[in-house]
Amino acid sequence: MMDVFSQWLEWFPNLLPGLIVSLQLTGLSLLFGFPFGLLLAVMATAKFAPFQWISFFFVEIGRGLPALVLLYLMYFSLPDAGIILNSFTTAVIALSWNTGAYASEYFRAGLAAVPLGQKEAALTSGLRGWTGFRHIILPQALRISTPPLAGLAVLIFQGSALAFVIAVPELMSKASEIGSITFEYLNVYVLTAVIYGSLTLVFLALVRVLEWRLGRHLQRN
Amino acid sequence: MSRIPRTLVRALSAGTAAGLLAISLAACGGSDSAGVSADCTPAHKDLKTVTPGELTVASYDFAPATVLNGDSLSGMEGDLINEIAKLECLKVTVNSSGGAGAVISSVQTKRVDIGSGNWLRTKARTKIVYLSTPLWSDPQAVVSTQGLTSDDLAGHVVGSTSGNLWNDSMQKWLGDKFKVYQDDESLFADLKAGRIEAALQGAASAQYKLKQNPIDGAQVINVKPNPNVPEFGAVGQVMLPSSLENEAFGKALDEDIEKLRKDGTIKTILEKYGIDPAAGEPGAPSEL
Repeated sequence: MMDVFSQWLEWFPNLLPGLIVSLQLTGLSLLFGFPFGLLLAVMATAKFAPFQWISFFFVEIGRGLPALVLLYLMYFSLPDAGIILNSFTTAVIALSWNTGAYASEYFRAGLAAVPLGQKEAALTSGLRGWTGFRHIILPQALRISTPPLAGLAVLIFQGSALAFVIAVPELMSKASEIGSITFEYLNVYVLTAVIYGSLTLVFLALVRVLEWRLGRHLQRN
Repeated sequence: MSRIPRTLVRALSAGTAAGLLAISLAACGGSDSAGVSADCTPAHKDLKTVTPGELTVASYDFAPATVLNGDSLSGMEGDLINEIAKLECLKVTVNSSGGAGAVISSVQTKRVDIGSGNWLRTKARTKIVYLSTPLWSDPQAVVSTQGLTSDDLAGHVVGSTSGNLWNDSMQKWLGDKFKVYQDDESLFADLKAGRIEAALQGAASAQYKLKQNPIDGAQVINVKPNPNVPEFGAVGQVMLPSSLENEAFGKALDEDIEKLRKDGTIKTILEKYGIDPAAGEPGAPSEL
């Protein structure tokens, strides 16, 4: 057992740069993906049909294709069209698209779940259009959407491992590299699982605290 | 929005996924159909394999070392494995699921008898798997369209595949300009696209790849010793990994390989794939 821990200590400094890349990749994918998802959700509910079609296209492709296929398509097919993006940029775009497509459905459900009375209250308060949406509807929709969006964020963090197929030096890529040199695949993958699992649990704990804070008003009678 | 287009797109997405799954399944596993005659006498009696009567091989496409053609395995190592199977009266069964990353794990967990795919003998690997006696030596090379040598790599974007022994040294030397790929196809695709300026690769594999898919102006130049990359100073020896727990199998494999070296089979195989037959005399076993 001590041997395993000493190996983990030896490998961790080599995995750390990969972990930082994974976190950067996840952070950027969520940073672009969530607003993109919100935009798609709003467009999907718009009365203007072309907006609905654009939203439909991005959501169905983003959800219909596995993230791995999106990564391959964007990385290896775009150079044929004269567009050469580096691997990190490609991964951010593909994962953002994937994030946006799923997030849009959660946002759409959140927007639909806001009681009609709230919309009427916004109107009677003189908060019309974008102002009413931003101050009354959106905060409530975001609160409803927070738990599934947190789950999506975890999935995207774990899904960032797929970027190793296009040479992004993320955590899984570094682990695979160590495994292929030492052949200690099992040990290094267990360490990688511990890292992914620990960060996920910490993140989910923070989300629970956030949910509790957002929902405090509902607990007061 | 009408229901029909939405249903259509979903059906297409599901169809795409099903198609990809079918392709993946087709690529996974399979067996060499070479029959074994009833009166065949094995070179080593009572040889224990994972599946009696079969020599199960974990492999992936890594031409010219390993070439997967449907259910059969060819290439330098593939041909040699088929010869070994003949000596032992075994039927070759190939397991290619999981690619390069799954080869060693499959050997370790005794899902297969041997792994294949240009694995080199190293000290670290002796603790994990039984390293067969060397098959041949494996000189390394720089592939570029600018005629770069191993001394010219500083300042250039260079790629290599996962598992190459020099990756750590190269990362320290070139930093962010060094990229590690999971397979040769991605490496050469990026060299062609211009995302990288040079690829570090086994000379034999590089020449074979360029012959199959030429890149304008690409040259293959063997590496020279370099203080930044000590691994360039030693030529690796290719081996077939097997389970440490079945040492009798490993020893039998060693004897078969030496027999095939002595009768000239190894040199013939190397010549068949355009490799200098001198590589077939790698000397005494050593570890990097």
